[in-house]
Amino acid sequence: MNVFNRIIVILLSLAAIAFSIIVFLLVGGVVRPTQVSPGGFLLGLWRFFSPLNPTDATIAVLVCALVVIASLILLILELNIFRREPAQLVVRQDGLGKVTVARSSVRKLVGHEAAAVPGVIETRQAVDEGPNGLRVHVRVLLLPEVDAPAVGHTLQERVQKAIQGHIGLPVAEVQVATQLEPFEKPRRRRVH
Amino acid sequence: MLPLDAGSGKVEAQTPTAKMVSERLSDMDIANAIAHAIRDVPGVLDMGQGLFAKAATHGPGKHIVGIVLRHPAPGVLSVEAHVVLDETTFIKALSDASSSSDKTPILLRFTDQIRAVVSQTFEHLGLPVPTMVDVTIDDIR
Repeated sequence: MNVFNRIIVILLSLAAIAFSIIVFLLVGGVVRPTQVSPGGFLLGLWRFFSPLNPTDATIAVLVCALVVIASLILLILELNIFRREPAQLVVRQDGLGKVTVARSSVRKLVGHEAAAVPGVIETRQAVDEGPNGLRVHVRVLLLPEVDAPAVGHTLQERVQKAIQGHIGLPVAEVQVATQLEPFEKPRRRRVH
Repeated sequence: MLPLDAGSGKVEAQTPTAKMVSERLSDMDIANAIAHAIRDVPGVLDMGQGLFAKAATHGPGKHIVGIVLRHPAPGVLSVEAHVVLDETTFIKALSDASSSSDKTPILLRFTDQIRAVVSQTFEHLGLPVPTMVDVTIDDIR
């Protein structure tokens, strides 16, 4: 979803929350329709909610509560994009300019180094930025006959050495998780 | 028309500025020359498209992908270059690195070459070397 669509979803969620809160206040008799209709805006709509009988009022409150919960979930999901880690990592910044590398390129290097370790069949890796350097997480599919702790240790050393030596980024930790079961394949999307 | 001090017989060498550059060469010309020069750097597969927005220099009816020219202040020019490295060359460089005494990270060797090429291109064009050259490795493939 692009930024424009995300902004639309955020605005719609906020509108839904505001609408629900007004309905709560109207049903509860805290405010009158005229108080939430500046210049008569949406006055007819608010008047519909004002004189509800207890049964309809309960249904309206339940529906609005569900709308608020759904809107809050959407808001949290959409606003989370602002906390996402950047797609590129700064390798060097000096008076001559900045050198950055795509996170995906660092992942590729990790994959290349991991695949070169004997006994490794397949890898999945993630790279996060921490305060003291990169945090690398590698899931490794191993041959059943190999010594998993030894391979894991070798892999940690190789990955750390490769990122620091070949890219020039500090590495804070390399976490390796080994497994013997094949990785789950990503589901194919249908293209219409 | 003769200059006002033509009679003195004194010719002063002028250092080209970005203002003079803009009079002679457009940003498109400069970006095109830089992109061509960078593509010739060993290990560079292609110019990158940018990671967030499309990185390009736009001109009338066309654009040069991978080069963004900025004018942060009058007379000042900075360059942002996006490149895609060739995986085979990069991996070969990784294996060669173990026998090399040079401790500079391989990626920075590539980016140093790219920066040098950008500076050389400016010199060849008769332009002042840019104040900042940002290099982004968009991909290795």
